[in-house]
Amino acid sequence: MMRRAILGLLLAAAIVPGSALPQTTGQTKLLTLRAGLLERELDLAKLPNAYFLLDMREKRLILKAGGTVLRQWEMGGVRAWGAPNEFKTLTLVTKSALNPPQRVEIKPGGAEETPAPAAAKEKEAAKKPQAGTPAAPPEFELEALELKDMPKSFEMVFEGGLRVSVKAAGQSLKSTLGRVWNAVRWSIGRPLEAVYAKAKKRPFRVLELTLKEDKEVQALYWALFDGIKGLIWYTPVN
Amino acid sequence: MGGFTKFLLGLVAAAAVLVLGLITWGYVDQFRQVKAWSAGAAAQQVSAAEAKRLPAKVTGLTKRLEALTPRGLYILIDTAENRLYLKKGDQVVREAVVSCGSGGILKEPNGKRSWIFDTPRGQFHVESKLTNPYWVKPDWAFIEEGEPIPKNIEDRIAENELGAYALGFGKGYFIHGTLYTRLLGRNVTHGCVRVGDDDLKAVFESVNLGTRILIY
Repeated sequence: MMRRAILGLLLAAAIVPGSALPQTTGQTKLLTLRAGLLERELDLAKLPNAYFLLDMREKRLILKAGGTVLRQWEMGGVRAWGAPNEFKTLTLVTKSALNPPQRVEIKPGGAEETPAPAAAKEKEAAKKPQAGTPAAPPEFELEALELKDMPKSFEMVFEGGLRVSVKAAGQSLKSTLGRVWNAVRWSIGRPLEAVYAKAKKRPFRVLELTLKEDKEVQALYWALFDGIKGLIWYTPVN
Repeated sequence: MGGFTKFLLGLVAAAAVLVLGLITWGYVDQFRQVKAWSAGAAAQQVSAAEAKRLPAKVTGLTKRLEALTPRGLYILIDTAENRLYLKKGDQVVREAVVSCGSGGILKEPNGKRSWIFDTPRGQFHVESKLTNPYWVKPDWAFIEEGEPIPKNIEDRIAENELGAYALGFGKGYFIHGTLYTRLLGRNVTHGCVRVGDDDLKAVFESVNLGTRILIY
């Protein structure tokens, strides 16, 4: 019973990021962190590229460019394993998924030989032009990368070894089996992975973000391109 | 119970204890790491003078960040949803269904060149405003069609392809009109952003050279 209680406490410390963070550091500490993050964001905002801010406390991921919000994703859940990163700018090295989207190679002059290149379909569609903007886009298949082709769960690896997995709430939690698998993976798999990583002297930092819908996961996969930079706010900074 | 069964049971029990031990070690180590991180973060000391300056520093940085956001109208393009928003602050002035890049790859046969037809992302500005634009077809347009690349520039010019207006935002990319209005809402372009006639006219008339374009 005692062991269970201790394990429960440790688990709570591990999975609830807010609880694992300093709670009584005072206004000066918060302002120091806030200033540091703002300085780093200012550096990112001066560049022409988009960047992201992952706010662990507010459970929100914000995509920005030039200081302007492009889009934001509200998260249903956030879990963390491993010590939080230092407050530095992170770079996305790679994304991986079970079924990653594949770019279509266009066959030069292939409109006659191979059916369905975008240009051929466009010409077909253009035979029946309609005035004005359509209420809904046509549903036929295109040889193109579209939002619907993006994976519904994926993992990102950042410089320094931070791994961030993203899934939708409805995806694995729908079935009891999925729920059990998720719990086992997190509460048994993660500590074992952490011990293995320690033995190999490799950093082990994992975040798990749960978005509300599959489409939001797909949109996030689309938006976060390899090489994008960003910041993670582990502590309350408001 | 036979000796071998006892041995097997012992082995399983030992393995279970080992795994349980490793899991516990994992939790303990996690707890230690987070505690060490928290202690390290809390140990950051600032002098009294620095602490006094911190609120002003934060306010200053916030203002500098806010100053970067566009003051007037700006264009926001969502390449995943194929939407263009003409915005002023948080307010959407106009929303248009558009077509963005297909993401396809074209490789030059027996050549070293290749092209990826993505709409570029990030922060841009309106660099040119063209009325009745014509398209100077680049090499890839001929390669894609399986046609020889012309020597003369006159042979590259295609009229009436880009609609009535075009807004250039650098490196040959434009927000322009389209003949293929039925494909609006789909990712079909070579990287440019195609807009329907009415929306294009409204956007063209609203923005100036230098207007911010944000694409994601």
